[in-house]
Amino acid sequence: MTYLLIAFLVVAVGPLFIATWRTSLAGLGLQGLLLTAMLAQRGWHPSPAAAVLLLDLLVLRAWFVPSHLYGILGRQRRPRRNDVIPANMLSWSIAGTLVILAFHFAGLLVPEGGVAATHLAVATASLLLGLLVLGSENTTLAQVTGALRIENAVALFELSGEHELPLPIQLGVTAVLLATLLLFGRFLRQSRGGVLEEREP
Amino acid sequence: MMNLLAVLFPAAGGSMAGVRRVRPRIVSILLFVAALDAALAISFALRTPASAVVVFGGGYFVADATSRLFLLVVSLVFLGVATYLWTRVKDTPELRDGIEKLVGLSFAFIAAANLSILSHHLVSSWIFLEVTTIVAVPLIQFWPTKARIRASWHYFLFSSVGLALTLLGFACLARGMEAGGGGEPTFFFDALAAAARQPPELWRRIGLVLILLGYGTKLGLAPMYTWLPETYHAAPPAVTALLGAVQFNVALVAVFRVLQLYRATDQAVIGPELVALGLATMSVSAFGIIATRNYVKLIAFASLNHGGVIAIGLGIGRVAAYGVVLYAVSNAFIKAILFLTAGKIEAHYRSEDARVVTGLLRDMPYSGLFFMVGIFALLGFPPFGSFLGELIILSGLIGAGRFAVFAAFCAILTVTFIATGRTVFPMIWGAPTDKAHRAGQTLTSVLPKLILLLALLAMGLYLPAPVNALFRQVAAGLGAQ
Repeated sequence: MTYLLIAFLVVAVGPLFIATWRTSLAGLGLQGLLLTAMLAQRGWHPSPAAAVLLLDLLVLRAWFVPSHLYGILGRQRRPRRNDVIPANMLSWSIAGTLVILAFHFAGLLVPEGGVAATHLAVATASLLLGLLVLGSENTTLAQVTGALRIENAVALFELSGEHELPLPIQLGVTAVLLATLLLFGRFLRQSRGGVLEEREP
Repeated sequence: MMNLLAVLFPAAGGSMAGVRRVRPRIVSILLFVAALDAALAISFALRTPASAVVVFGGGYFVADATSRLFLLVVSLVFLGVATYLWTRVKDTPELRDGIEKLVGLSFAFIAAANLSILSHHLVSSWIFLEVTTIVAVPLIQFWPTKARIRASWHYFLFSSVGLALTLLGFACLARGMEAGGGGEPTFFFDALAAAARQPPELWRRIGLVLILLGYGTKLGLAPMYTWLPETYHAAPPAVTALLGAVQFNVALVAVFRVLQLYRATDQAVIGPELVALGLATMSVSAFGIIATRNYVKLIAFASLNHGGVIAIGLGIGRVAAYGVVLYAVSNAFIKAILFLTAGKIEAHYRSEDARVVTGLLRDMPYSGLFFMVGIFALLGFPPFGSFLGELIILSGLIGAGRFAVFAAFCAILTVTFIATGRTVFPMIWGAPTDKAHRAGQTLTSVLPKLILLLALLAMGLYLPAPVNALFRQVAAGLGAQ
């Protein structure tokens, strides 16, 4: 499990430095794949709710998120470069500090350490980095990326527990995620020409 | 079965919006369904004993005092919105283009809101609240302008992040149940109530902080409040009324459920967080009201203030609990009256600038009267329910020995009162401009607002025994003494 968690953290941090929208989308897709791998490693108990959760992680997060957004951005011929945080030493230092703080926080909450502490640390770091992305850039794409990073951080934290939601509830949560992704796509289409970024006089 | 009808009526109405043959009469159907829904909710609230609790739908839904009271509030506001749309479309035929989409989405919004209120599962109430958010986006963008598209984006982004934090809070609660040895984690209210009696532990407290912060976003509480004035200002008036008076209360019911479960054991976390969020929200609202000359924005900022007052009341609990329920319900009716009336005023004067609108009482007698009375209720004048609610919350602050909060509360309310009066009173009593002409308004078009107004008055003067019992039952769940 630990190497999957470390990989998740690398995927969360990497796109902050490689500032292209393709890297951001690949990062989100990889996070989905890693979440699926963690679900498999946690132990698979076949049930309809578990199947829906698998669908949520593998189909929605790993495949649909990058492919749907890639299709929209590709058609818009967006410039390759897309900073999710400002490309300067200050922002990178803040990102690094947040990761260290996340590990410190996990150490306080899970003093016995081990995989549980690493799991909490990576989920917290991913959440804080998602909030950093949201707070740093006001472009629609960066904000969509930030919101999806937060969604993945929440999913990662949920995987640390053993409990399973009842089928109707799991279906509802997955349906809400799908609708949210479709709306993010709609906003990305509407953001063409900077409608969502500019301020009216 | 009557409980489910409250959901089925709007859902059936929504499916009719897609039928080509009924499209010319779709706004009349909206009005008919809203009236039926309101009649059902009134009968449901008056004929069922306040303490009755019925769990149905496989344990996923519950009809208790909280759900009955807020179904009643939502249905009355829905009737007001439906009447507004009906009169606007009748007066302005060009609005008919594509109106079936607006009507269909409104039905879906109300059905999801009712389902959230009736939910007996913490995550399912969250899911239906998310559905109202998703449906609200195309509603805000209806008759699109750049400002509306931008406002809908900020609304959706803030809501998504806020609700993601709430979901994270639920995961922390589950982790707490696992760590506390309370057995298999569950989010059904009855099982949660048993788990909540376990001694407080860290995961549960982190979960509660996140849940209140997340739902606080939907209530427009600081620090995640900036979407609210922008969205309430930019959205069409009927949609603003739905957001401010329906969705706000759906989120509030979710907060009520959490407090009903955890107040007894975790007041040390819940109380200070809510009081701090409430005071911060009231402060930013006062600054917003001072700065604006736009009367729609002013009402939006006043809505922030109401959210702050409710948060403080909930943070104090005990004596303040009854006042909070009274204030929250009054607040829903005030917002519905004011936003719908502001829509009529904007349509008449073609401006949202308070300096352009003068002599409202002479130009638009009905709308002017509703605006004036709505502003009095907004400012907490007697004899409205908001006055009584505010008074009870203030006495709760004194009773709890929170004198510093009491002083800050009174100071902010005074500033809000002066700033609102400075902008709004000339609109109501100023001399009409030369161009102004009296707008024709029929009594039927204002009847639902009149009903909301009478309800506001009743909450301050006399509440029928069955309704008062509902208020008391909800307040008791929040720790009223």
